[in-house]
Amino acid sequence: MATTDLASPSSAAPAPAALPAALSRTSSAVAVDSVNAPASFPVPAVDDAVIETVFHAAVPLAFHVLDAQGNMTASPPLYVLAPRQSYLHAVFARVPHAVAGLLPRPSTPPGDATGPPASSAADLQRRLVSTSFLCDATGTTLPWHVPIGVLYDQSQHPALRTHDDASWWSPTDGIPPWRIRVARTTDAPTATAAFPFTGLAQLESLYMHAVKEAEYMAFGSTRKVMALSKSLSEQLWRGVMDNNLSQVEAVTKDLFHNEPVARAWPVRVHIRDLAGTVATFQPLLTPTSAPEIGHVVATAGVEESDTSVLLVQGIALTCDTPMAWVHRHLVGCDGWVHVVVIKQGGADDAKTEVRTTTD
Amino acid sequence: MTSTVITAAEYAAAARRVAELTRDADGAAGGTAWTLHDADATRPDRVYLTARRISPAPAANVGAGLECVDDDLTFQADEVDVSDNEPARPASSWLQWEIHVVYHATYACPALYFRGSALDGRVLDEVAAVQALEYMRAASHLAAPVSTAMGPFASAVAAGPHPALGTPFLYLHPCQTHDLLAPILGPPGFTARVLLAWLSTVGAVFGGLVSTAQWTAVKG
Repeated sequence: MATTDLASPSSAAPAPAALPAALSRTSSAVAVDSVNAPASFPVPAVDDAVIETVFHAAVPLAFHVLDAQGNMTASPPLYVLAPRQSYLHAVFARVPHAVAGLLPRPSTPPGDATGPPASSAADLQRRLVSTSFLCDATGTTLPWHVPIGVLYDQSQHPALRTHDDASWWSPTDGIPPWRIRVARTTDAPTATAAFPFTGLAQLESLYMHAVKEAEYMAFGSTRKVMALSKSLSEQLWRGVMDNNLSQVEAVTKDLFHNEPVARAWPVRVHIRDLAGTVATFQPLLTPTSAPEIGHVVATAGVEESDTSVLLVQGIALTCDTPMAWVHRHLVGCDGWVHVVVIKQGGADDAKTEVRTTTD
Repeated sequence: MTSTVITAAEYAAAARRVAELTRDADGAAGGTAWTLHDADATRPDRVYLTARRISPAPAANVGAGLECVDDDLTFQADEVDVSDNEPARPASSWLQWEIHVVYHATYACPALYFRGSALDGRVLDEVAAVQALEYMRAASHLAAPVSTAMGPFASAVAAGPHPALGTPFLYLHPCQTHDLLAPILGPPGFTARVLLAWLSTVGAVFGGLVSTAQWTAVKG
């Protein structure tokens, strides 16, 4: 059994480059503090420990390879602690020596998943392109463009676990890994299939566009992201891939947290209904109209009386949690606050709700 | 930068009107027929229009010109009578495009999403799709001022999740749409006419998506 921990920050990473003066707001901009901030928009005290803990959070995954008939093989799965902020293909790209033998070979028939280890980075890239990931529980293909943490909360969060006499689960039992099947993408995806994954460069492009959108959503301008140099953009993406907080924060802090949100909260609400279907909403809500997270989910149709669990970065929040605090501490690397709402059929007395503490 | 918020409800109403106007066009002299998708009446941001176009693939049409078909230089690739210009092309030399007009919630404006594929269903990746669009643009009589102002064509195309479907599509980045619409967006707001004006500009990448007949049919 191979276990790989990808959640530890890299100690060998170079010091992040300093932002150029044009992007630095600390010298010329009005300092955002309780004195200068508008009275209607209180700035929360920043808890770096929370930010660091959330950034380095990881979820346990178990990758199983399918045989030619589409069934799981007898080979032991690959266990990985994957960063919540990362993406499925990016996780594989970080540990080529461990996963290359698991990746499908492009030249093999569909269903024949295994092959010899990748001989080069280019070979690994080719295999990544022909690889898709299936959620073992539902058999559905997992979208490659969604952060792992969001996918996990939608389908595997402990809040989704049910209890019965035969299999009682409690928080002290530990969290079983999320089983994901590694499958061979068909040779000729049809026009109705999801847009094919063509490589890590495409994933990086999609990620940067998400960051740009988040900036526009929050401030009505994409000026700062457009002004990022190539080296800073690469540093940001590398920081996401390597789960390196200092590299990421050196860029995102000035993009998103040097001034209060002016236009609308960059928030996406993913509502999982009882049938397991997930619908995503992107409300346009100003900070004054939605000071608490309950206001945000109410816009998406979730009533406070519903028996629902609100998850952000895997943490269950109460409806009165201030959005300013959520945005500062729980925002994702892509600049978006992803709220996962798990609708449940009725009150669950055994479910433990983790309450957050806010300043 | 001009900030003109177009609400989802305004966009949905305009989209429905455009679908009505173009219902019988179906690629004939009336222009592109748009199909309306509004499965959830409570979600105007999920309303979107779809259309299909056919274009020659770049590798199969080197050197051959494409003709314009009406006085407004609105070129429609699927109306070209190739038998007058060159021998019939094999199926592999054609591409089909699935074009969607959706409401982009972040930029609060319409956005053009699209996906290209070969006739056998193989979806084009981002690089191949951009190359095919560059070929179409170069072969068209239209000089699209918007695409020129935005710089290299490839930088205007991005990949991202379809706002209504959730699956990744390619799209023309809408960050400058408000600047484009500002001169024509006044009372009574975002109407079908404004939507068609926007389509006539961004649709240049596909050889034009709005015909003269559709323009005259729009009364606001």
